Order: sequence, then structure tokens, then C-alpha cells
Amino acid sequence: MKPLNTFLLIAPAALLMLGVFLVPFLLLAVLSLWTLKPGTLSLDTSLTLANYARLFGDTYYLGSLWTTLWMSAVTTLACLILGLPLAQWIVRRAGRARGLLIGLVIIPMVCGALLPTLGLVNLLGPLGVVNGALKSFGLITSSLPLLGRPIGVIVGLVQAFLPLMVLPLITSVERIPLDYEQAAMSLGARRVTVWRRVLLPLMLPGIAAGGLLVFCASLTAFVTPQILGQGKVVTFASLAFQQASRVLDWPFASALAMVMLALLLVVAGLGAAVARFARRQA
Amino acid sequence: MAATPYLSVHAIQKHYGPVAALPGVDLDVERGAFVALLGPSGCGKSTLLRILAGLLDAEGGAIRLDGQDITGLPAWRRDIGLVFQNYALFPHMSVRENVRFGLDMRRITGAEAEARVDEALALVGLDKHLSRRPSELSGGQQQRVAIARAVAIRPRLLLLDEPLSNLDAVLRTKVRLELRELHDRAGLTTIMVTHDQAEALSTADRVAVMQAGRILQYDTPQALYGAPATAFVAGFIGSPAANLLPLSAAGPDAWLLADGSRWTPPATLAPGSAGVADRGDYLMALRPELLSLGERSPDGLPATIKAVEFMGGDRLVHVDVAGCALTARLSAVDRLPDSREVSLRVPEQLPLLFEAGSGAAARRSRVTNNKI
Repeated sequence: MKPLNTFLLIAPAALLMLGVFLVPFLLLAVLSLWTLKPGTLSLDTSLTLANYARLFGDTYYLGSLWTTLWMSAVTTLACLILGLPLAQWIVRRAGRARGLLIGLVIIPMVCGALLPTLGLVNLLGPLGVVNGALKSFGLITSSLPLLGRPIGVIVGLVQAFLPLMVLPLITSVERIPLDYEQAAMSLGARRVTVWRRVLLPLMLPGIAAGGLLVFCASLTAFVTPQILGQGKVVTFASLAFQQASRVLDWPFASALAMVMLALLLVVAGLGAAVARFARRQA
Repeated sequence: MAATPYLSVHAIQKHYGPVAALPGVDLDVERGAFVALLGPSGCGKSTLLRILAGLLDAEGGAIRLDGQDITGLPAWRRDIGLVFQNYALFPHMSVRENVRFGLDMRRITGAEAEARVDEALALVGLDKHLSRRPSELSGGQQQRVAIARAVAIRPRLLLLDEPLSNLDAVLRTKVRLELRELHDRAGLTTIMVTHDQAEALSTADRVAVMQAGRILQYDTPQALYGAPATAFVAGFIGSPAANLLPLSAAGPDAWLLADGSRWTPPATLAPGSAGVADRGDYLMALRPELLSLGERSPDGLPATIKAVEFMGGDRLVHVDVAGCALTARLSAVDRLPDSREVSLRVPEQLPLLFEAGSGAAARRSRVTNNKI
């Protein structure tokens, strides 16, 4: 295909991305260098790094950043631990069952964050199913505070983003023939060794892709931490939301967003490096 | 076999759902032998191989290897080398790492491991590209790596699953010879699964012909060709395979052909001389290479030439005999009769007869020179 034709084909999508994605981002970047005039809602358009200085100088914001980072890391790890066996199990099913299972994996992803999260409120709340069950078994006497704690938020994030881990894993497990496992076994490898020496290295590209997706999604998640955190677990995204829509300090909210963007880029770069390394291995 | 065989497979069963892949297979293999499991796809030969390797569980029966019952032993404790059809080389490891994998599993390290890797690679004649990944090698080289990897663990048994099927025709003939040489050099008891009879007959000491999960005949290649036990084996072995001409006995002197016509053959070919009953339906096995064509004569089989295939050194002449398609293999220098209406001449040594219904041999060949 001629270069011009190719260009025409991608032009609509490229223009759309330019208009609704890149331009707002550039505006955001400029906005983050402005400030609010003290005591007013009007903008001081002289360029300054004051917003960033404020962000990195305040332990409240840094604490929120740290909370967001470690919750994302734990979410990613939990998704990996749950996703690896799940992906392997699904791949080994026969045709129809497999399609059905993949469909079931995708459903939570396409039905939005709000509905399942509200369901989790009922599940994890003080009078919810989990606490109720633990009480009726006599394991606890008063309700465990699951909502408004990082644990509740992490449960919600894992629930929401597990498909992002499982789908890339399925793709990479599908490409590993059963013969590899059997060859390893016939050469004297136990199941654990087969897994560690043969399957895991070959799944690395999928792990990198899934990990990247889950981590980035958790980092920027808003609805889930907002509802399950009940305002007591303040993530970076909810902080930016607060600043923009409650405090109406758009420049500072923009600075928060830019930091998040920088973090995403760093993580994506790391993920890509791991994926490239894994591909070279394979 | 007088002594206990090295490998003894007894009444091994395997079902896939209601289908019996193996209804109960017996097989004895002597130490150092090269055995081929030969049969069409779906005959259960690969299932048997995987059961031997421990990758599939048998539902019944027992396997003894070198005096040890290995029936319930997991694959990783069997010390059985397996070469996969598609080689199954680990793509994330170099050639050397692949070959060393089995040694790693046996905690063999350092100089000893390196020496054993070198030894295995030398055995398959591979000395280049050892730090490359399998994907950078040709199919033939990949196969050598796969064999070296299986041989490096010094297996008690070497299993080859369709080892030549992924190679091109030229390479296949070459590797066939090499496999045999490798077996002789390494002295490994080897079982090869194949659907290609040329592969089985040319490489193995003994061939087990399988059909529908059963071993129909387990014999030397010469015996399979010369004295097939059933009509299936006769119709399977040989290239082209033996013709199976249906006929029924009509008294001691004459046969009835499929279209009801009467054939009065020379006395040596008559039902009476074959010692079969006056009545009954039979299949007469006729090797294409032992047939000849001539002018119509009363004691020859009346045949019509349908097609002639030129094969280089010889010709395949396809004829119709009483509605049955038969093939004769003639040397390219033999003159064909002018007319299409010819006589098919059967050598006057008595051909093998099989019962039409069961396919069992009605009468063993008296001929001792291993020809039908």
C-alpha cells in the first residue's frame, strides 16, 4: 500500500486522538504551570513550578502518592497470583467451554466500575456478607472494618482489573504447546520445576503486559477507591478530583495529573523493557 | 523369547470416552532392539508411546522395564528419553541448554555435565551453532538437538514419535539411515512410532503393525513382507501393497471371481492344492512386483489395462480383474502386450490366502524364500 493511502486510512483516528487526547493533555501541562491568585479563583498565568513544589513539599500529598503506589503494586501481584492458574486452566479447556470462560472473564471489565463496586460495598460492609458469615461461624464478634481501608480498596481493584491480567496471560499460555511440559517431564522435571524452568519464562511477555495494564489501571483508578475507600483511603486520582471539582484549584489538580502521567510513562517504559527482554529470551 | 524381556508391556488398556484406543496391548522388546510401531493414524501407536513415557496413564495392564514395574511411575522418574514429532525444544534456551536440561534435573553439573552434553551432541553429529536458539536452526538440526537432548540423560529406553514426518523427502531418507546408525552406536533400546512403512521396514529390527488399538503382527520386516499374518498386514506392507483379490473356491480345480466368472488356474494355484474347503470366500494376496502381463491365455487371470504409471525404473500397471482394481509392477524395459485385454500371470508358487470375513490367514505360505 502506498504511504499516502496508509496515511488517509489512519487520518480519522489520528485526528480524533489529536483533538480529544493530545490537545487537552498539552493544555493540562500548561495549566499545571499556572497558579490561582491567592484568595480568588482567577488564574495567574505566569509560568512557575510552585504547584510541583507544593506537591512534593507536603507529606499529605506524598503519603497519598505512596498509598496509591503500594496499593497498585499489591493489586498487580494479587492479580498475577490469581491470574496465572486461572489463565492456564482456561487455556486447557476444550473449545466451547473456553470461549464461555473467556466471556465470563471479560464481563466485569465491560460492565463498568460502579455496579460491581456497589456490590462489593454490600459484601464488605459492617453488616455485609463477609462480616455476617464470619460472625455466624463465631470467628469474630464485632465487624471487621473492611470498607474505608486499603484492604477493601485492593479487593475492589483486583475484582475490577483481574481481566486485564488474565487476557494477556491467556494469549501467552495459548502459545505454549503442551509438548514443552511433557518434554520437560520426560527429561526428569517435576511439576514445580516444569513450571519454573519452562512455563514461567515463556509466560513472561504475558506477565509483563498484564502487570503493566493492571498496575496502570490501579494507579489511575478513581471510582473504586472513591466508593470502597469511603474518603478514608485517599488515592492520587481522588486527590486530583478533589482539587479540581471541590477546591476548584485546577492548576494544582493539573500538576497532580502530570505527576501521574509521568509515573505511567515510567511504568510503561519498564514494562516494555521487560517484555522486550522476555521476547529476546523466547 | 526365553529370558524375561527387557521391556514387557502387558494388557495395556486406554479408552477415550467410550472408544477403546488400546483394548489391551502386549509387546515385548529385547534389550538393544530397535522396534517400530507401524500403523495408520488413529491406530493407537502414539497413545502406546505416551503411556510408555508416562505422559498418559494406562487404565489397566502393566509395564516392566529392566525388571522394574514402572506402570505407576511418574514420567519424570522413568529415565525414558522421548523425541517429539515437532521436537518440543525449549525456545528460551540455547542448543546446549536444551541438551543439558535433563542433566540439570539429575543434579549433574560442571565438567561432567559439559562432557555429557558434548558426547550427546557428537553422537548426533552436531558441533555448530550450539549457543543459538532452536528457532534459528533448520528442521533437521532441530531434530538432532531433540535427539541429543533425549540421549544425554542416558535413557533406559529411547522413544521416537514420528521422527521423520517433519523433514523433507530427501532429508528423510538420509536421517532414516542415521537413526539406525545412532541406535547401533549408542546401543539404546529404541521404539519408534511411524505411519510410514518404508521408515519402519528400513530401520527397525522388529515391526509391530497396529490397527484399531491392536497389534496385528509383531515380526521382522522380512517376515511382515513375506508372511503377513492377516489380510490387513498384506494390504498394508509393500509399496504398492499386495493386491487382495476376492475369490471363492468352486471345487478343487477352479475359483469363482467376484463377477461370477470361473478361473481355472494352473494346478499349483488351485483351491485343492491350497488345501482349502470346496466352498468359502477368500482373499488372495498378490504382490504387484511378482505379477506379469501376457497375451490372453486360459489359465491366466483375464485382465483389462486401465492405466500405466511411469515411475522411472519401473511401471505401475493398473488393471481390472473381474471388477477389482489390481496393480502390477513391471520393469520399465518389459514390453507391454499390444492389446488392453491381457492375462495377469500369477507366479506358480501358491500365494497367501486369507479368509474373506476375518482376514485371518487361511493357509501359511509353503514358500520359504520369503516371497508370496
